[in-house]
Amino acid sequence: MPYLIRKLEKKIWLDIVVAKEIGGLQADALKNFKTTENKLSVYQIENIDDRTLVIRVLAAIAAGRDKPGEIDYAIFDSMILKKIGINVEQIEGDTADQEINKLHLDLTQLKAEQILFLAEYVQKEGILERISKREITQSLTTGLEKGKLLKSKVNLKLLNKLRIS
Amino acid sequence: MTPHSDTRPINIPNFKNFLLNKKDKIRCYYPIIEPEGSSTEESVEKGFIFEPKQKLISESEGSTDEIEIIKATDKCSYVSVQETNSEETSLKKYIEAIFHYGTYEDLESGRDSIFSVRLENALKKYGNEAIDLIKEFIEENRFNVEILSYSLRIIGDFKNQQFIDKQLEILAFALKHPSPIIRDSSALGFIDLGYTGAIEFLKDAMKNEKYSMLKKDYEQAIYELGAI
Repeated sequence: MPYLIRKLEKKIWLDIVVAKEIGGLQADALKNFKTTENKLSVYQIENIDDRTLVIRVLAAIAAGRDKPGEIDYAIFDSMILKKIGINVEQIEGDTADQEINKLHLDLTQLKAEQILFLAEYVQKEGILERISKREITQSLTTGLEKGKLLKSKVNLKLLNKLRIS
Repeated sequence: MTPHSDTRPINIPNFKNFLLNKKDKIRCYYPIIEPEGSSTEESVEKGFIFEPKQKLISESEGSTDEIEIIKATDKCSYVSVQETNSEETSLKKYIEAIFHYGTYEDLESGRDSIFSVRLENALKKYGNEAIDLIKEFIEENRFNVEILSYSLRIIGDFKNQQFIDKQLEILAFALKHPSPIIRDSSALGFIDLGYTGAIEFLKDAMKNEKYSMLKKDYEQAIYELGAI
């Protein structure tokens, strides 16, 4: 069963101890699941231990930002989507990494309660991690050098900060 | 008529009424007027308040921050005004205004924002004084946790050896804040700063941190700083 990667704004919002203190998932945690047109963006990977691929997915996301920085993320089992009746569409991503774009999925026609279930599931069962600024910077630099990242699609401000012209 | 003396947005009908008394000297908070009295293009362009600026602000060249607003357009949706005979320093009001309007923005890590551009400019210009004021805001929880934590990232990312002591001071202070969001941003700010001397602060913080997730993040921060 594939796993899904979701970029988080702040993983601490999903901290289980914080949840216990306030008696449930804190409302702020939902900021990690901010939808656009009732859609949520995720990437699927087959092997949860494939850290190289996880980093590549995150670097692809980072390539669209203004500056290199850490990224909080969650990895969780995709079976939850079926369990809570979430629609999935395989829509190619729009990052600078063409290979990673093929791993992109849109969770569509999302209802508020589905987001809540998903957030609770991710909090309880997901792996919440942070990739460092250093790792992201390295991955971006390598990706650009090896041509895995399409320079024309990388954020210009970021390119300047990476000093790659 | 009593001038508004707080910094909350007021709606345009109130603003127009306020302007009836042309002798009132008021300070305009948006577009943000810097203490020198100049209003940056950036704030005018991105601001959603005055249009066009010339019709609104009668400002003598090189004057103080005291300005007289002579006309507001209907497009002016929010404005904050304050009597300028206040004894409070204009720098404080300036930094407060940056934070105040930043709270209307959708701030996202790794993304520049009007707030980040303004705060970076303020740090470049007012360095230590600006950092002291931000520390005061954090201490008093003057603004929401998100903007305060976002400001710590900007401070950490601000590379100027001249202000390193103040940067360390505010980040170390924030590492003891009751909010885990602020503590988290403080640790990240230390990484951004790239100062290995911060390792000791983080080691200390680990001893008292009640959230295991944050402890792990401090560990990561220590590792990252050691790797620099």
